[in-house]
Amino acid sequence: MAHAPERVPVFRNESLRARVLVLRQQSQWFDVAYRVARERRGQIALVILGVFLVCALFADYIAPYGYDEQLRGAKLLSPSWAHPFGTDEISRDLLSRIIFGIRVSLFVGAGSIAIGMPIGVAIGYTAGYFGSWADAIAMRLIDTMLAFPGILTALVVLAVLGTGTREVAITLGIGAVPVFARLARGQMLQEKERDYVMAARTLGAGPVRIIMRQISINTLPPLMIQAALYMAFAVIAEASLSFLGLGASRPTATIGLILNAARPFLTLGAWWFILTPIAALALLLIALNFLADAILEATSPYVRNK
Amino acid sequence: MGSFLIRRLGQGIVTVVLASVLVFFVMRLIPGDPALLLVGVDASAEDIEQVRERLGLNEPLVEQYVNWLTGAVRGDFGPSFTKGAEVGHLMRVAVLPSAELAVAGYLFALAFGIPLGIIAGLKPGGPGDYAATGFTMFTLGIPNFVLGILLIWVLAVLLGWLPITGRVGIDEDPVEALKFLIMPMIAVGAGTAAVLARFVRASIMETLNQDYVRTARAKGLRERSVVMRHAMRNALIPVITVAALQIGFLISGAVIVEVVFARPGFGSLLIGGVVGRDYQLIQGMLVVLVAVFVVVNTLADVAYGLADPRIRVS
Repeated sequence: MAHAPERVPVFRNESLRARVLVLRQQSQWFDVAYRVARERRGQIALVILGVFLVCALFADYIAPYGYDEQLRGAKLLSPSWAHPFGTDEISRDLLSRIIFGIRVSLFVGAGSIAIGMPIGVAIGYTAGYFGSWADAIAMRLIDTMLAFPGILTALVVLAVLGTGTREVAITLGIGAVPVFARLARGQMLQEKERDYVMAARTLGAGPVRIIMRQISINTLPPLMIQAALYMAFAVIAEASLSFLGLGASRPTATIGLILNAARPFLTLGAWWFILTPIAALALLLIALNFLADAILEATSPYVRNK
Repeated sequence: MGSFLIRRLGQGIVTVVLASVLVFFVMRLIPGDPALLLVGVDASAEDIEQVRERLGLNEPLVEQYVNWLTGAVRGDFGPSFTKGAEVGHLMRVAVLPSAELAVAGYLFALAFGIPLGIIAGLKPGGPGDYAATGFTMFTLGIPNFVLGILLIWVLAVLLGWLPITGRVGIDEDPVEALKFLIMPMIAVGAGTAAVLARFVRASIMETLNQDYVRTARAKGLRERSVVMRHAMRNALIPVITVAALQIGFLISGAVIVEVVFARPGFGSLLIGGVVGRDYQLIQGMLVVLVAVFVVVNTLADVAYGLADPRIRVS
């Protein structure tokens, strides 16, 4: 596991099973994905996330109506064959709006990871590997940022950037930096004392090669788990912020905005208006948490080789 | 214990000061002139200049920071740019409703989460364990403000047991106040309760496997005595830290829940500040919140040190 295995050529006439085995040996990413797909929670997570991802990518083709398309005479209709999730207060199809809303959720979730994880991990690896003053400065900064719990960091940054979906993604990306930096640093402190690092150093590998090719592979699983959990947090934060009017603005469809619009209609008995976006959000969040569980199960040494 | 206390206190002060630096200078990146926000767009250039002078906006940034921090220590956070009042005054008005909600939510989390975790941990696979797992799954999928909306729908709209939104002061009418507090309290505390339940469960299961528990059983103590006197005490010590760390998330969660239930407090004040880009208001509130968070964590470390003598030494 510590050393990158030799590349075995994949021959065309080999069985699928053999090819999978070779791929698993060559790529830790593929190996983790394979193990996750064999866990039951992993299967549930992959199915839900897969469906949501397809819906998000092809929302324009899959959604029966546009996210802001007002239909004649379809105000606050309860679910039916024409509108499986019902319609909202200004005659828009809720299924379509939720599909577009999930697209925003996934965009913000993935975007915040794409921004925050590389920066955070780079800071954490550097601080952990080199130690001394770089570590001291980085850790003080990280501790200070982590002193703003939960969504408070987001509020500070949003006040500067202004509101909007892209701004929320950047904001939550910044919020991810200290989270990943602290985790990556801890992993680095643990791994850099291992024998395989010493072996690589003896063979003449420089710090960049050791970090990128040796240590990074071994610290991958905890970072992937954190990515899934942070993505769940980002999805919640995006929904909260757009609910508060600090995220996307109308008429964009987001889960938070739909919930905000639905709230006054609770007393009028429009149950579908409130329950369908909540159900979609809950499915997404459960799937992300299951994914994190499955990665842990798939990569923890005690249960690995079953 | 004395040096441990002083060291933790020192670290806490450093964190609060660094956080204040971070907030202060990040807030200055907000585009626009706060003096313009105060006097309005049709003010003359002299008026604006006068306000800038009065607010100290013409001084170097570092000096502005020092002035602001020395004021903040005395409770003077300067004027809000959008609310037409002192930030300190606004916060003093908002603190009671928010503190009321945060404390109630936290008590709910402790009173619900810890017993649930104990029941689940004492009999893994039993009905209590299933209840705990189900509750955890529920809170993972339903974030706090969504839970608030669901509670309003079920308890207030469908069943009509509780008033929908608003607040009555505890000093005015305690019974009415409690009615208004129940739903926001559950919404704020449920997530923390689930985290506590999960942690307590794991801690109890681990403790029951310890040698001293087997010894206690082997010498013929009653199961009740083994669990209550030997296992429980040790199992609940690490819970102190987790419970304290949750307070920060509880407070940040309360910000949104307050808005859902249309309760006055820090939440609506802070959101208003962000929308209006009122940096004087935001920086004052955030420094206070961070200070509360740091104080709570420091107290938790001290409590942990008192409960477990091994911590003090290392």
